[in-house]
Amino acid sequence: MIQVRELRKSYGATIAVDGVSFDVGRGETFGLLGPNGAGKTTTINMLVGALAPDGGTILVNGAAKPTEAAARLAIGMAPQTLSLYEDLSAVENLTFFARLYRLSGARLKERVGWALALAGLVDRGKDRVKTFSGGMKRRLNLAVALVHDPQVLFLDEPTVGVDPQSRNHIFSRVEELKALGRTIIYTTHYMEEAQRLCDRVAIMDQGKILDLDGVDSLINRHGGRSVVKAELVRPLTDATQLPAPLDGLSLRFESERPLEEIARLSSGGVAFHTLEVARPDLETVFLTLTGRSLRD
Amino acid sequence: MRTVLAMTVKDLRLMGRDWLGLFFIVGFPILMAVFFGAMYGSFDTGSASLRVAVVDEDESDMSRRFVESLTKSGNVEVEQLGRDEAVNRVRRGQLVGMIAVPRGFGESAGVPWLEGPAIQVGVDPARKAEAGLLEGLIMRSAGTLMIDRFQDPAAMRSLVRAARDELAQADDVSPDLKPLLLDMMDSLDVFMESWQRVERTEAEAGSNGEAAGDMPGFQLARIEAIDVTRQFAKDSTEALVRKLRSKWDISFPQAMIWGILACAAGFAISIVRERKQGTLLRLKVAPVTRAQVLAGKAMACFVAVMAVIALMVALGTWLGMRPQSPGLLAISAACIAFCFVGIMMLMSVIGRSEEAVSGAAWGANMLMAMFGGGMVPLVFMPSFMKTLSDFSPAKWSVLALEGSIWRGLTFGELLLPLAVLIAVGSVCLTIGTLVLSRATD
Repeated sequence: MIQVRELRKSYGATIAVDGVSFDVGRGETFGLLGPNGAGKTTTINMLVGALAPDGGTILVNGAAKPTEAAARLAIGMAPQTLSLYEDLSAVENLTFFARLYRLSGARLKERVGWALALAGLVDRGKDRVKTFSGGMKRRLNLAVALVHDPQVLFLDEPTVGVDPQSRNHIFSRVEELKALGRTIIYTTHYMEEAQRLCDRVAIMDQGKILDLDGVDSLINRHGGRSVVKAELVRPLTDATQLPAPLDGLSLRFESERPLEEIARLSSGGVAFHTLEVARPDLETVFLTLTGRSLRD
Repeated sequence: MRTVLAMTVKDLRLMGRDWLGLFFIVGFPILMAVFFGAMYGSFDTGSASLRVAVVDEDESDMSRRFVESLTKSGNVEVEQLGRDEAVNRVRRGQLVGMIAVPRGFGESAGVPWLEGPAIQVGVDPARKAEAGLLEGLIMRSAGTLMIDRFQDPAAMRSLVRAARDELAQADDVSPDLKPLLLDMMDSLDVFMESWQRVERTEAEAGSNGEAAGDMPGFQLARIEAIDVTRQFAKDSTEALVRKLRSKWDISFPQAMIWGILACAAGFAISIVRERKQGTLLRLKVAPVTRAQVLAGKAMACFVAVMAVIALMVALGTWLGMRPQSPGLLAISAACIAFCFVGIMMLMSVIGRSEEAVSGAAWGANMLMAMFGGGMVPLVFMPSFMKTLSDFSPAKWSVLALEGSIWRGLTFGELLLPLAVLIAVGSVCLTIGTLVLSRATD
């Protein structure tokens, strides 16, 4: 569906995107993760044709460049900044953008109604956007991107600054779109979002893709071992069977197969008062790949 | 075209919902036009007569004829009031003066052998020149009453006879003079009797279809007018002021400029706002060309400027302004709108933030208005300012508007301002569009 090869973009001496390449298949949800300034938004802006790359190629639907009308009709974008006319109502915003995508008549009305329902704003459709809460605006921002029924959807940090209810609403809608076979390119800071929604994830930093794969594969490759924390019922007379030394009644150890290790200890007579297994997640992968230093 | 239209409608709708912006585009110019129009009221040449109060305490036929004669002269605008109100209005400076016609006026008015009737006159001390003029007009009107007396021979004969009887019995008239005066009265009585007969005969002839004549009037002097109409250099202030037909002629074109400038600044700011709020990104992602985006903005600005001019012309016309050439006015409006669409595009690239563009746009507007007739009307500008005004597109806009509203310019004479407006618009539009296109890449 989308083919990106050796994409590059610089602003003066600053290299924002440095030779990025990836493919996104039809119906796939593709996550683009990275710290601030990693080049995610620049990459997205080039993919949607809003920014001209310095080098490389982008193909949408196999043949069209993103600046071509055929590609633009197939693309929908929900920018990170709330890109809405605050003095227009929700319906007026949706209608205006739908007209730009050549919708008219009954089809226009139908799609505006659908988008309004998707945003959960049917009752507030005639109210001006400036009277909306942050969550409502964020939902409308997504609805505007979908009003023309695009095949490819670019969601740039779609849940930034919203309450848990709106966030959950957006998740559900994205999952529905995924079920409908839409291709989605999703950038976020929230690892649990990417883990929940994305089929594949690319970790980006300093304009480059550090790794790209399915979530489980990335965790297996970069997540390290699981951490087990336990509180024993009583002290052991023979502590040599334990994988790590005891600290009073507390036990902490790392393992690639934590469940097997716990079963072994239990059958050896070790009684657990509390037990906690921390499996590595995407955040671990992210921090492993991008480091723990602050990014401003 | 549908895309451009959608963007135009969207921008006009946004403009309509910005109440503060709308005030500067429509409300402020209207206030300004009305305020300055009222100030320029003294240029209204429609009323050059003396405004006086008349207090008719006699309420006789003769007093009414006197007031009528005064009004007919065309030099006096009469308001009939009570004495107290008349005095107060003159004291407040609302009237030049007052004329009181006391009781008994009708008994002696127009009778040549009686002492003239008293007429009381009060004139604003600050208007001495008008006082002399008013006294002359009063004397002229009183004189016409004598002719009126002779128009009624029967009444005149009874006055003559009464006067003769009084004379005959008078002891204070010299014995040498008395017979002469009695002879004159007799002759006058005979003359009036003859005149009465003639009038009766003519009245009968008149009932058979022939017109009855009046007694010929008489004048102390026949005043004939000599053409001394002042002549001024064609483009002098005096010559232009004489072309004004309404006090709104200057104030409305002057005020329109503010509305037009506000339109240009408003749309320039809206372009930067689109960039800042991210909607420009959506437009760039949509299947819309850059030319369509800019055309939408330009069209909205053009329509807004035309609407401002149309609204102000309608309001001015309602108040009394009478555009001499609606056709030339429409052409002028279109050229002005085009010019300011270009200026709007140029303004939008002055800065990268709303604050920067707003500040710079209004700064430029102030300069354009200051030297272009937005503050000091072009007609009253000193010569150095007139020279500087050539560099302001506002001046050419005011000139085009005034040319078609009251200056009476022909299409040929309007060509220069219209050409300047189109040239300025084209240059600004080209530069603005090029810079804006680069900035949005």
